[in-house]
Amino acid sequence: MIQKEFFRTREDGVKLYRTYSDEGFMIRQEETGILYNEAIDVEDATYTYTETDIPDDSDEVPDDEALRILMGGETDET
Amino acid sequence: MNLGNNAFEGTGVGKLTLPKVTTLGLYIGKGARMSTVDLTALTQIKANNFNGMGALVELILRNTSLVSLAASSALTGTPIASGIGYVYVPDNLVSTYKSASNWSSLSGQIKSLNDYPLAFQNETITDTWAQILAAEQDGTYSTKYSVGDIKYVDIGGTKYPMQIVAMDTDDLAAGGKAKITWIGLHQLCSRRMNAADTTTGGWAESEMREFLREGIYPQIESTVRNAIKPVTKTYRNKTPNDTTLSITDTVWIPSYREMFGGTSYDGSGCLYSSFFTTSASKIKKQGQGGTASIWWLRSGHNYKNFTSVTQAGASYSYAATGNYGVVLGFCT
Repeated sequence: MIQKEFFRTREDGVKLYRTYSDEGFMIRQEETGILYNEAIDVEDATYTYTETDIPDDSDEVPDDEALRILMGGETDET
Repeated sequence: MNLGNNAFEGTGVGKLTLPKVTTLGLYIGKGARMSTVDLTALTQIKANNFNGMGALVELILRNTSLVSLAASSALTGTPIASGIGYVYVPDNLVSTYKSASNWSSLSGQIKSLNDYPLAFQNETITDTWAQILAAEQDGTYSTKYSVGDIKYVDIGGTKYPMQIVAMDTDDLAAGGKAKITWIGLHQLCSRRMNAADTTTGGWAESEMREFLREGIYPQIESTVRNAIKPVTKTYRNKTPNDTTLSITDTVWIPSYREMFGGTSYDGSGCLYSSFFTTSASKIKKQGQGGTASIWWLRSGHNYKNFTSVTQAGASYSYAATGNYGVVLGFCT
């Protein structure tokens, strides 16, 4: 489900809101068709978002690093 | 064109210029010392493209359309997200970026490319000067580079953009043709031609020529300075006799004929007419983003005036003591 929450207030006083999927999916901005992991917009932005069935890829790691992790090797993630 | 995952992971590359890359792989510069990434064709930044780039203080996005940012966390861990680095975008897109999804959270770090404080913003040649000179040696320069290409040169600690205006055109003093002729994209500085309003002795005996030879030439970075070829340059020597003379120069300012063609001033000499085709092409500003202003040519006009190019790119002449722009030229 799409969630929208207050994110923070910018130094210029503009309030920012964060839109995301609470199921861990990418969201699509309907007006542009662009996929986002999350979208932070100014308060008066009129964008609408829909949840997709595409998993959020923000934790994605390259294949070779994934293999290294699966094989029990060390990762250089800190 | 896609740049693969971890393409520059852990490298010591300081600046990455990728004019043709449209998509980036994951963690392209994780652990790298890269401080600047310059992208022209990129269309989207994904969540993990810049992850772990702790030295990234300048992200240059030249695409004429908005580059979408898939997550505000995409720049987490970079100085840009910490408020001490900047994202430079085309001037007409600054407000678009500041209100765009996710970019809106970085609005204080988004600046116009016109405000880019460092040199290199127009550089189109990513090869080093050593590589350029090697290409001249092996004959590949004319396929690797084009007239109009720009490369910055260090002159006394200042980065100055030199532009290729001709190839195989200037006459080497030792015979044959110089492979590449370079002329400054902007004015290097402002300077009078002579201490008095006179053209006596012409370009050869002008204070400006001495200034370039003694003041500027020694400050050019040694790799380039050592490769500069002496060439035969012509100039109109108005006083005492209206004649076209020749002289050997390493560094010079352009002549009337080189900029405007014809024989009305300099009776002979090479032409850069294939490059300087319009008035706009002859305009030289006082540095990047600076004001267009008058700059000197080495051809004499009358007993006290040297020729020049106006702020509109037209020809005119001014008294020799005028403090006008200096545009450096040399051949390699």
